[in-house]
Formats: sequence, C-alpha cells, structure tokens
Amino acid sequence: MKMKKEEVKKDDGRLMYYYTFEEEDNKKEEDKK
Amino acid sequence: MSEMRYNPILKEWLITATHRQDRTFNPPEDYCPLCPTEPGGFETEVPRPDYDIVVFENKFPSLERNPRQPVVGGTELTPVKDSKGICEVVLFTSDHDGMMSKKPLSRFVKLVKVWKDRYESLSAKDYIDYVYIFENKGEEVGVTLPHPHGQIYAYPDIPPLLKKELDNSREHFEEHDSCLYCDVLQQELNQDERIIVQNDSFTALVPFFARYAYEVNIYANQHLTSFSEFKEKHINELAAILKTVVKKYDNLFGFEFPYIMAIHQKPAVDGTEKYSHFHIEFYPPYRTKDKLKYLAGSESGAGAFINGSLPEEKAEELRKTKPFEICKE
Repeated sequence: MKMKKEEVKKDDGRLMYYYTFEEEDNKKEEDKK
Repeated sequence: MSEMRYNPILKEWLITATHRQDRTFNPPEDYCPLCPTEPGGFETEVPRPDYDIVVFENKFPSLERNPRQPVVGGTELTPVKDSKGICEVVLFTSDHDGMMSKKPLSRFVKLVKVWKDRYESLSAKDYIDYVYIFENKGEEVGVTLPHPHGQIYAYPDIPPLLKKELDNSREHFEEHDSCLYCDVLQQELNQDERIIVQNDSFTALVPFFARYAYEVNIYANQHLTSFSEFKEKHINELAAILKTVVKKYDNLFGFEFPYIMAIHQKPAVDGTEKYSHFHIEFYPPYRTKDKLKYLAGSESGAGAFINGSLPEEKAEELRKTKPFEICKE
C-alpha cells in the first residue's frame, strides 16, 4: 500500500497534511464497510 | 499563554497553556470540527469534502512552532523558557461515528504508516528531542471531541516519565549488556502467564507490574528502537495486533472501551539505540464493568500505584475475550 502526502498551509498559518493511499486499497476498504 | 516552568524539586519542566481553556468541548454532532467540510456547511478543520487520514497542527497547542514570550520571568532556581515544540492532531477516519475496532485492518495499516511518517518528519527537526504519539479515547479520560483521533506532541526535551524509562533502561544495559525491554519480554514469554496474543513481530501482554487492571503493553519482539526501523512486515503486524487488542477491549464489557494509548520509542537524539525499545502502553480507566480507577492519594501524592487486581487474572480475561486470534482483515 503506497502512501502519498500533501502539505497545505491553513489560513491561520498552521500546517496540515493530507495522506492518501493507493486506489486499490481504498476500494478494498470501502467494500468491507 | 504558554511557557515552560522548571520544577527543581522533581527536576522536570511543567507546561502552562492557558489558551487551552477555550478549546472546543463536546460540540453537538452536526458541528464536529474534525469531520470533513460539507458543501454549503460550516467550515471544519478539514476544508475538503472527504479525507482518508489527515494530520494538522493543533489549534490549541501546548507547544508551538513559533512560541509566545513567557509571561513571567524565571530565576536561577526556577527557570522559565518558551514552549517551543509541535502539537499535531491525527484524524484516523472521516467517519465521525466509526468505531476503530469495526474498521478493516487496512485502516490500521494506513494509520501506522502515517504515524511512522510523522515520527520521522518531526524527529528530523533540530529543536525536537522526543516525538510522543498517543490517543486519548473516551470521556472517562477527558476527551472533548468524540471523532476518532489521536495526537502527537513533539517535545523540545525528553518528558519526565520517558526519561525515567530511558535512564533505567540505560542502567540495565550498562550492568547486563542487554536491553531491559528485551529481557522483560523474554521473562514474560518464559512465564507465559500474562501473554494475550502475539504474531511474528509483536507480543501483547498484561505486564507483571501492571498499574491498571486492564493495562496492556505491546512489545516489539525484536529489538526495534522506533518506527524508523519498521519494514512492511512490522507495519502490517503492528496494525494487526493493534486491531486485535482494541477489538478485545470493546468486546470485554460490550461497550467502546476508553483508554489512553502511549507509544514509547527512541528519542529524536542519538546514542540511545541500544536501550530504546519500541512498545505501546494502554491505560484503560475501567477496573470493572462499571467502576473506574481514580488516581487518588497514593498514586497522585506518592507516585505509588495500587492495582486492585491480579495481572495474571486480567490477562486470562482478555485472552478469553474475542477475537481469540490475531485479526487478519
């Protein structure tokens, strides 16, 4: 499962990070919900 | 206002963070600041309509990247310094009501990967000495937002309890030429009375010296110092044993079991590799189905914990609680 990270600066200067994972794994998880 | 004040009696730093009094406290469910922002809805901490796992700097931090000036001056006896550090919030899922124990194993794998990345990113900063990853779960331990999340505190020095652990582990290493945690784990495996569940990489047990009735520790079976040494197998197997323990907790009394989860590993400073050992400690406040353990006179005033139960019996209870085997999905 490969992970990607996107760094974003919020309006008030705080840092935030969006982590996403390979589509295949996301799909697998949805199937099991 | 936030600052660090030195306590020469205990030889430790105290953080004051008065702005945290204003933090969000049990908001109504339709105003959860940790949910994604719905189109046309009020803006939450996450401006996007959905997310997988998100980390952001805490709005009400105890430690700050750009700290404010201390409001008081220190003395030689009681110095004061600014509270430089980083406090982050980790959102485990966008699902507000999602019990982690009911989530698929892949959710835990993702979370471990994110923890590893945060540990490595924060440890690389020259003003950080310790990256502490933890989860407070449940109102009983003071959680103010029920949305599944954890926190990370990146401290400018090694916090007192963790320093005590490391000092003791260093002493043991100097005396015995072996890691204290490796030796404790080996004794637990030899005695085989308090083991709950294990896989190739990790062992979950109620320690011989448990302070809480249902305290569980997860030890790396090998001498792994931190997330930085984790290979894919370790990530997957930590995720599996974590899910198993959390699921056992939730099945124990039939309600979502509150706890504090603390991840202890190598500090962000060199030289401790031989005696730092990755492990996780769970401190659940329930001592029976309907009674809480309070840190009262002996614990708070003397630092002497009293556990009203036998770890061997509690380990057996947890062993006999489903799931009996390590979760595979």
